[in-house]
Amino acid sequence: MKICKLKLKNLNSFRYPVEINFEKPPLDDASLVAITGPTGSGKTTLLDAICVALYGKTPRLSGNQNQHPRHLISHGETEGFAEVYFEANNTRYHATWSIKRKGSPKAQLFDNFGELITTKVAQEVESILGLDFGAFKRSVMLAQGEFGAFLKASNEERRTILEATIDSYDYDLLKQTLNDKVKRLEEAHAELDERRNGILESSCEQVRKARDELDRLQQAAREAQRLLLARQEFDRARLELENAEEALRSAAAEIAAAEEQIGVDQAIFDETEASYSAASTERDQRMQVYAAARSDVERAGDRFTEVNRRTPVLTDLSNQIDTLENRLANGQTEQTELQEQIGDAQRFLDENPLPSDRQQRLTRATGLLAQLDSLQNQLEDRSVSRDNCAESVSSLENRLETLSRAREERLAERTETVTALENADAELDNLQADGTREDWDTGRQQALQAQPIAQRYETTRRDLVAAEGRLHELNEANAEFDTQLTQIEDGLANQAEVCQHAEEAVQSCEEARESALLANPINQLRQRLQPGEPCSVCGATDHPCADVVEPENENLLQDTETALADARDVAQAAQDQMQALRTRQARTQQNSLNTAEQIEEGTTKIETLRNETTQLLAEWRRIYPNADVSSDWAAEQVDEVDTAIAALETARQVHTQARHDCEAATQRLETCESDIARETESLNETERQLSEFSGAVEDLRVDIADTEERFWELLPNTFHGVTPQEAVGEFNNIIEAIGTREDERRNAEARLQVINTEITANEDSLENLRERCAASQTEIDAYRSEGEVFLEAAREVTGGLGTEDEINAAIDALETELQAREAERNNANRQLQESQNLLTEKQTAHGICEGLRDECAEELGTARQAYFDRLEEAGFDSPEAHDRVFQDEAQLEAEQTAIEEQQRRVALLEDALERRRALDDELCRTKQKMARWKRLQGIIPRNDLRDFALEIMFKQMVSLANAQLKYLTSERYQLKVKSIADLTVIDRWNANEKRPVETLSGGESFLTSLALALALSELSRGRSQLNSLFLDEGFGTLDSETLDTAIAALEGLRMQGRNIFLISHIRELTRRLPVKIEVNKKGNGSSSIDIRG
Amino acid sequence: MKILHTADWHIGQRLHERQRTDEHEQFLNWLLKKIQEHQVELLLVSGDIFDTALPSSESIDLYYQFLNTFSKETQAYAVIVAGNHDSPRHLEAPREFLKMGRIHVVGLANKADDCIVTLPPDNPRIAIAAVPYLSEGALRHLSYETEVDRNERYREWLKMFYADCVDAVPKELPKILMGHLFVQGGTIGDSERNVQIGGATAVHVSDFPKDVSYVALGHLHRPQTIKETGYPIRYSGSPIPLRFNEAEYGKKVYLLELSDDGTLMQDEEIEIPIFKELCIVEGDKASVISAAMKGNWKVNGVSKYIQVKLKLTTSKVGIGDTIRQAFSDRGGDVLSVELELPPPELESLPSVEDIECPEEIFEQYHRVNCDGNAPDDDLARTFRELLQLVEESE
Repeated sequence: MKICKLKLKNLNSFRYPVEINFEKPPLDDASLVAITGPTGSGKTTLLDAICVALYGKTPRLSGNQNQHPRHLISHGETEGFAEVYFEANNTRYHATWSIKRKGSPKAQLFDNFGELITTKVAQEVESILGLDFGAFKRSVMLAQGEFGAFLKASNEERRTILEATIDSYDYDLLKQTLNDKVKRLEEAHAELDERRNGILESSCEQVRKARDELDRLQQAAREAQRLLLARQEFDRARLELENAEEALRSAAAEIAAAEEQIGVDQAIFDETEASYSAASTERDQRMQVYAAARSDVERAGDRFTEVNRRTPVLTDLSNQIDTLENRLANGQTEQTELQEQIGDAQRFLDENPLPSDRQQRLTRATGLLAQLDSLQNQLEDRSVSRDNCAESVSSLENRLETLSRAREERLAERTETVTALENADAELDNLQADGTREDWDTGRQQALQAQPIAQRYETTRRDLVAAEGRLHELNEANAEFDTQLTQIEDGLANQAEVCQHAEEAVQSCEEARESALLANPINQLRQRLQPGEPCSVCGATDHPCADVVEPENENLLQDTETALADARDVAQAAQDQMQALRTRQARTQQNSLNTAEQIEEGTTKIETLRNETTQLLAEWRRIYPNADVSSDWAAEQVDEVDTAIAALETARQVHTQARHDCEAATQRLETCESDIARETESLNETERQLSEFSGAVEDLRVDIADTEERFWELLPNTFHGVTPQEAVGEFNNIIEAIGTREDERRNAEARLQVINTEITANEDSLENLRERCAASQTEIDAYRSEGEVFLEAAREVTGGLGTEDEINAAIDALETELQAREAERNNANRQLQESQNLLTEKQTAHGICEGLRDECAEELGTARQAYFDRLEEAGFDSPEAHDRVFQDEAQLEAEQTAIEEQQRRVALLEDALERRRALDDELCRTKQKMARWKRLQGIIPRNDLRDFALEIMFKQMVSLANAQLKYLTSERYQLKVKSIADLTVIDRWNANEKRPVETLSGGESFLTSLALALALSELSRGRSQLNSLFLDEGFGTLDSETLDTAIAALEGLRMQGRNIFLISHIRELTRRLPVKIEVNKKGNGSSSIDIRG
Repeated sequence: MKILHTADWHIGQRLHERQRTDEHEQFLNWLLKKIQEHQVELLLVSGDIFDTALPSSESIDLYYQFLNTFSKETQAYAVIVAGNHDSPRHLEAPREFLKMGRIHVVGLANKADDCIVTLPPDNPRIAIAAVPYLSEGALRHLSYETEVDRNERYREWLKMFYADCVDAVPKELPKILMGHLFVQGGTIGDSERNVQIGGATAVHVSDFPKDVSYVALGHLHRPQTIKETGYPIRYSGSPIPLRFNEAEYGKKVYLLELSDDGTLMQDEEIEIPIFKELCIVEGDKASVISAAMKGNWKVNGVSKYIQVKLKLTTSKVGIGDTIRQAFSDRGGDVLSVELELPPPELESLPSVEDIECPEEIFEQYHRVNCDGNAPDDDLARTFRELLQLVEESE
């Protein structure tokens, strides 16, 4: 798998689009690329972008709620994306990933031709690369740093680091789960056990015994029950017999009662029969009387009907009379009212006499009034105008006054500014008298020129003084050297003498030795031997003993030789001394010579400096012929000139300002005066208008008075004394009221006429009606008296019954009486009949009762027999004994309760037995299960399985790491692992000596940890060949020596066809790598990419 | 025209962590003297100038010092190509500048034209196809290509490249091809860093075009000539032994003389002196120590580099130091003491897949802890249940 191109935008600090093409120069042929940049610039974000494009998550944002990859979006942006072009298995792919802040990420995978393969990118990538995200992380991002820490860590730490780094199976969780499981099982078992123990003790034997007891109790109960049943049967039979006898007795009594009842009923019947016959006779007699009376009543009825028919006519007539009488009375009332009305109107007219031409007068007065109104309005208008004018005049006068005051102020102001201007003029003239601006500029120029000259002059002077001082010192030193030289030369002369003496002493010692040697003849002969010449003694040309000295006078020889050696030493010492002196002389001479040179140099320098000072002085004099040379003074000059120029400038500004002020004041004064002129003119015009308006007002007042006089002449005197409007109104009102009254009187008189006529007509009709009414009354009275006669006759016959209804009622009463008597008789008859039936019934019942009693007696006999049989069976000798038992009810109940108790007990025991059996089974099962899990727990105690797994994995990794290490260290080192704790390296260049990894140097640790990281990568890579590897900040501790080793090793990896990307902020490292992806922080919190090769 | 062919300098190489700058400096001085002595007109360097793509400043300094002296003190031309160890871009970065000193450097080549150098430039007498190491990575990507196909295509590409080079040169000029590659039949030493790993695979002798005078190759460190064609195809080899086992044969440069019609008039090898001797001492402890005592391990003030191959069945603490001391006493510098041990027994390890599978781990664990027995069914079932529980809890 090789990353070909990476694009991203708005991820973390990369706010602008970033594109890194790994297939373009300079990245294409660079095997080792540094990704550099300051901490926090976003180096790791590049890795995140790759991860997120391929897998939708990053090592830090794993996709859980709090770690949603949307946190990658740059702060304040709403969306971002990452795209990766990569190559795997010789195929090119293009993975894209984009995200919005509010929304889920969108991922797509395209093939080389831009065809969408899938949107489930992570799955597809996983299958293409054969790597899930964890494996991808481990294999592409080298964990060198972790392994570096690993090598330095303690045993348990090593395990922890390794576990985290290689992302192994979570054995910790496994252990935890196992322990939890066992604990849960134990708890469950204990709980079950407790539950079982909580259940009632129960066994099969107990249940059986309880059952037998129950059976026994139930048997006894059943026996008692049967006896009881027989007894009850017996008792019941006896009771029934008694009942039957009782019934028989009561049936006999009932028969006697029924016979008695029949006698009574017969007597009643006879009585009612007699009463009925009497009533029937009376009725027949009375019926004839009632029929005669009824015909009389009918005739009387006819007469009364006639009376009733005539009565309404009479009533109608009397009503008509009443109506007419009312109408007549109304007419008379109205007549009186009208006459009063006429009287009123006449009185009013008499009270308000008016001239006859009143209508014309009113019209004219109204006209005059209108005229008067219009004149008044005009007067008011004019008055308002006049008042306005007067107001204007006063306001204009005020304004004029204000303006006058303003003019006074302006005048004062102008005077002031003019004075200021004059002062400024004087000041400026004063300053310019000292010197114009040009003069000062020239002075300043001069001072500026003079200043460096003075500085240089001063420096040179100082140098000159220093050089002279130095020269003086050198001269002194030289004199000192001369003295020393003289001393040394004296010393040398002395030493030469000493040498001479020593040489001489040596000479004499050698001579002494020579003579001592030659004292022996053999020695003398040997002394004469010459190589190649024949020996004077033996003739041989070879002289093996030529140098041998025969000891003759050994002491003498030894003494001389000792003396010679001493002398030589003395001579040597003298020579050495001499040599030392000479060296010192040479050195002193050299010093003297050097000093002389320096003196010469110093002199030359002094000369130069003096020339220079003279020259500088001349230059200074050219500028300032009179002043002493001084840079401070020149500086002061400059300051002075600057001050003067500043003062001049200020004065000039003040002058200009004053002139401006003066001009402004004059202008304001002029404005003010023109305002006054304008306002005065306006005032004159307004006053003229005022006088015009006043004249008009006077004229109008005269007109009004004139008109009012004419008006009052028109109106009668009664209306004077009020305003003209009121007077006209009142006059008008009176005229209208008089008109109304005259109309009223005329109407009332006409109406009175009509009413008088009506009253006369009504009085005639009334007379006529009264006559008809009297005739009708007479007729009615005649019919009434006739009817009364007939009725009287009927009453007489019937004994007071006056109407037909009363007669009918009397007949009905008779009938009813008769019927009542008949009903009574019938009732008595029926009662008699019923009593006879009852007697028959009772007699029958008596018969049945007798039969029943016989049956009961028989049953009693049977029951008695059965009961006694049972009694005998149950062991009672008499019913009384049995009765006694029955009387003891508590015992019976106790027996029953005992049975129930026993039943409950049996049920409880059975239930407990059942439950115990079930729990026993379950306990057995849980126990087995617990044993099984405990066994597992026992087999993998503590972290043993994890340690074992880690160890296996680690060994596996180490064997892969060794392949890398062989390559990285030119076959020098090999790792050997006994356990994670016991990790050694074998130095193959040092006779396979073993060293603990802790003793590895920085460079060696780096190589080892890199090899382990590569091994992990290898282990995780699945089936894909990984060509792009990232190494993130593993170089914290590298010194420059180990840096070389590290780079050489990483460099070597490219031979394996891998591209290594080093993410680091270590300058020394990245400086060595020519190809870099630089991540730069910009000021605005965003970062940019710069690729350098 | 007199031509000198060399290659595989590997400046900056370290032998068992020893810097070899001195040896390289001595070689380059010697080379300069030979160029002057034989009045060489053209120097060919066939790649691997530096040992790494990121050479140290000392190495770079040495190289450019040499080029500077070469340019100043000789009249010769030089043609230098990049090898697989060099960074092509960095090597050829100063090429325009170096041309002023008659030095032609080719680092990257995309097409034949990039490689053609005709000399002297104003009046050409010879054409050189200065082909650098061609990375397989430069091949255009093809989907769904197998490894074998890709290798074949690479070979084909090289063949075409050389053919194009020959075509791009005027016919009448004698032609020399340069290259940094592995020709089938060449002997691989120990220090070439197996090229196949890098991707580049062997080319066949027959892949080189006809009508050339000489093929000056680099890459293999043993000087050797392949003579199946009508002209020599030659590896000059490295000038100093880069490994101990390279010390057993002589190191050489080749001096040629080519007539203007392309005939090889002279083909002579010049032995390079040994600047620092590399020795391998083999034997058991006693014989090695005795050899150390007898030998003279420092000649003319130069210590020899020694590799000891100890015949020993088990490692003993301190033996390395003892041997080092023995040689050091006689002026030698032991770079490594290696044991010839029988190969270590490798533990049988579970395969990679098993590591992800805790069940298998458990089985292994059980075997280790319970006398080699696999867990019984009951236990295995319990463990599986445990795994299930863990999975559920996650």
